Amino acid sequence: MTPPNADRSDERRSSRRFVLALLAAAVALGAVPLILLDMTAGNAGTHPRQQLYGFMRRPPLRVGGYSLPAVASDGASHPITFRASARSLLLVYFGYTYCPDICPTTLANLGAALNKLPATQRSRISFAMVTVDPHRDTPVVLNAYLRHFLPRALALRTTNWSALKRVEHVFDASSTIGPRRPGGGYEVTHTAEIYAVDDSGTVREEWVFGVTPSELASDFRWLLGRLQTGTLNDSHSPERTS
Amino acid sequence: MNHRRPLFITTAALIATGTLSACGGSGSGTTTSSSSSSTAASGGEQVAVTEPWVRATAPSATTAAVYMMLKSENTDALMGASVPSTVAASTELHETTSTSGTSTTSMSGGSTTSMSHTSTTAMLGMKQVMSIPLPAGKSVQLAPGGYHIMLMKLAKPITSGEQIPVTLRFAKGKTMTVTVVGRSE
Repeated sequence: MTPPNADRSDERRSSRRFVLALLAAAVALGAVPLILLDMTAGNAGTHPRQQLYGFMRRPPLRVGGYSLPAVASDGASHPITFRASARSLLLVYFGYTYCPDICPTTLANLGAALNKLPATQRSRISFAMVTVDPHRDTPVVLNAYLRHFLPRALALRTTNWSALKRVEHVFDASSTIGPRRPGGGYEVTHTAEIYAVDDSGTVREEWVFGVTPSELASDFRWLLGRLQTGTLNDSHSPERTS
Repeated sequence: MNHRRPLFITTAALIATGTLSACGGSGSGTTTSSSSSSTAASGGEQVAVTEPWVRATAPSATTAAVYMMLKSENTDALMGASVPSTVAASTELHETTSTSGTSTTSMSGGSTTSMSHTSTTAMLGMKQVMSIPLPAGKSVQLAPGGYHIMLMKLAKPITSGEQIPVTLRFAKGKTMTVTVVGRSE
C-alpha cells in the first residue's frame, strides 16, 4: 500500500523550496552552508568529501552563558544552561505543541535520526525544546508532547517574556504570537532550526526545516566524531558568561 | 548538493498503488474508498488521491495535519474537508509559509515587550486558505512544510495504524471520502 520511503520523499520534495530559500537567506546574511571538505580522519583516500547537511555561522553563535528552566510535569523546574556535556551535543529547537505541521515533522525526523545512531553515540546527544507558546504549553502538555517523540527530551519553558526573547535572540531565533482568531486560539510563527550546541556552549551546526533523518544522523556522526577527537575546528575561545 | 535529491523523482510512480478516484457527479454524491484501492471515475471528471496519511499525535496534542497527493483531470479545487466528531471538532485547509525572520514579540490580548530583533533565518507560519487549487493534470502535494488539512481540537490522540475517514469537498460540490492512515513518522 505504501512504499517505505514515500512519506520521506514527499516531505523532501515539499520542503525543498524551504530549504533553498532558507539557505539562500542564511548565506545572504552571513551564515555559511556546510558543504565541507573533510580531508582528515584517515578517510581521504576513500571518502574525501564529507558532506554536511546543515550550516555553520562565522562567527558561530555563543549560547553557553544562557539558561532557561527545564520543567517537569508536576511543575518542578531547574535551570538548564545551553551547553552540552563533555564531547557531547545538546540539540535545541524552538517550537510549540499546537503546531500541527512543522514541529511534529521536525521532532519525528529528529527521533528517527537518533534511532539511526548506535546507543553509544545516541547517549551523547540530548535534546531540549524551548516552547515559544508557554501559555498554552503548560508543563503537563509540553512534557507529554515531547515524550511522544523523544523520551528524554528536556522541556524548556518560561513565562518571563523577556527571558524567552533574550534566549531567542542569542540563538538568532524568533517567534511571534498572532492575534486571537474568531474561532479561538491564535497562530504562532517561529524559526524552525535545530541547533547543535557543544560542550563550550557554541552552536556548531544548524539545520533548517526539511532535513531528513538520514541527513541529520550523518551530521551527528561527523560532529560527535570530531568532538571525540577534539578536531572540530574553532578559532574562537569559548564564551562562558552572558 | 544536487546529487542527494534525484532518488525521489520516481516517487510518484511508486506511490501510485494507493490511488483513489473521485467521481464527478451530483453535489450529494459521495465516493468512499480505502487508501489501497483505485476506483475509476465516470463522467470524465476525476480527482486521484494518493497516499493519504496523518502523523500520529502526542497524548497532549490538540491538532494534527493530514497529507496526501491530489491530481485532478480537470481544473478543480479542494474546498474543505470534514472528519467525524469522534476524531476532531473541525478542520481547516492550511498552508505553511515562510517569511523573513522579523520578531515583533507581540502577545495576543495584552502585554508587549520592547525587546525585538530580526532573525537571519526565515520564520515559518501557517495561514488558512479557502481552497487549494488543482490545476488540470498536475499533482498537488499536501505534505509537511506546505499545504495540509489541519484537524483542530482532536477528540483523542491519533495512533499509528489508525484509519480515519476524511471527506474531501471539491469545487462544484462533489465530495469524496478517503481513508487516512495514522503514521508514527
